[in-house]
Amino acid sequence: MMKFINSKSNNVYYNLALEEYLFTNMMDDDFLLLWVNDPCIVVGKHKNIFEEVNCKEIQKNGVPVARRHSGGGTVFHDNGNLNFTFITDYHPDRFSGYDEFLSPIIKILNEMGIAAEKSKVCDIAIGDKKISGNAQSIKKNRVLHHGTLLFDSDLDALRAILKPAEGEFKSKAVKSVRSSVTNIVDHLGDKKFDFDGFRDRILNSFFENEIDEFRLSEADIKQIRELEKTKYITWEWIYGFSPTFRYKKQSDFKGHQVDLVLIVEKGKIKECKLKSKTLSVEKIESLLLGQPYDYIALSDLCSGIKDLENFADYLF
Amino acid sequence: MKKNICMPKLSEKMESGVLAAWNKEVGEKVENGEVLFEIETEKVVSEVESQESGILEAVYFEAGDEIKVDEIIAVISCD
Repeated sequence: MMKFINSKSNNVYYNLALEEYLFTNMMDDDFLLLWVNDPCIVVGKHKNIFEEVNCKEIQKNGVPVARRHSGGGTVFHDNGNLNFTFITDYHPDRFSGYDEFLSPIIKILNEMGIAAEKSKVCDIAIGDKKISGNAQSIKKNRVLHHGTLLFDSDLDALRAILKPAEGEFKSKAVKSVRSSVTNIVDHLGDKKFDFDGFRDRILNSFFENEIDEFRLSEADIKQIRELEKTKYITWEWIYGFSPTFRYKKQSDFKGHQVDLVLIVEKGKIKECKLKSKTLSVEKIESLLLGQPYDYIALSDLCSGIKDLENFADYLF
Repeated sequence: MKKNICMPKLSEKMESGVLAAWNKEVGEKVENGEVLFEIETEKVVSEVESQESGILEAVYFEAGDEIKVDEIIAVISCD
């Protein structure tokens, strides 16, 4: 029997902690979790965030960015995007992968008159435009499948925020595939319902008679908060968990031609090679070595140093 | 006794997967049930637990490598 959990939080870090807590602690039930985040970016577990996202722009503009515990690419969330999570048992010998989770969602969308179909490995699309990205996490005998549903997201903000980083990256991380997207609200025809109406339709089609809502105890919430604090909001998880990568950039910094090669391991600058005819490269190399590859931290580090004011802008 | 650790088949149709990360290093002690490495196939991250207790003696792949199902990934020297 599936239980429903309605997350009242729009905080991406709390919601990711909630998912992980249910996934690793609540082994006796199946769950459907519905959740909505305030505007943020979410990258897959083993993605290189520095390559996936323009970290300089993100940090300058204060856009929250989070790392989830499942695979897949980089997605944008806002209040017009509905996230759904299924948590259930996993048996490797009879595990189909995605269809057992995608099919019911597609069926509901079809019943709303939306011509949604499965696309690529585990997307849902209308025509050639994506409305839902999905990913999974498997641990012991449990599987967590979650996905996005773009109902009326700010797609212009999405395109602006998911601007790629500058420079060349070399790592073994698998890169995200960019997809063109559309909002479900633009495909409703003469049916009219808003975000809450959409959410209710999804919910009601999973629970035909009675919604079996699972309520978290105070102790549960305390532990979720703890996981949020010790993992999901930390720099070490969001940035430092990126695989080791090599970053190369050849560009002009305030009239100096500078060639840069960085090797970043666990988010920290492990090697740094600079070439410039006009800057004192050794001084800069020793300054950067061992520092976190973080735009704000490096801006502070370079601040007040002669010739290096705003050098962090060059490093991203 | 030495035990070979192979690439597991995590779903009906899986043929290969990417070794996403090692959770143990060569020379480190591994307990039965501890997460040894993580696999990423398409959009699934799977934690793979060790079925053995012992010392992780050798690893043949690094993070980012794509590995076929049943290929030997590592060797554990058992207690």
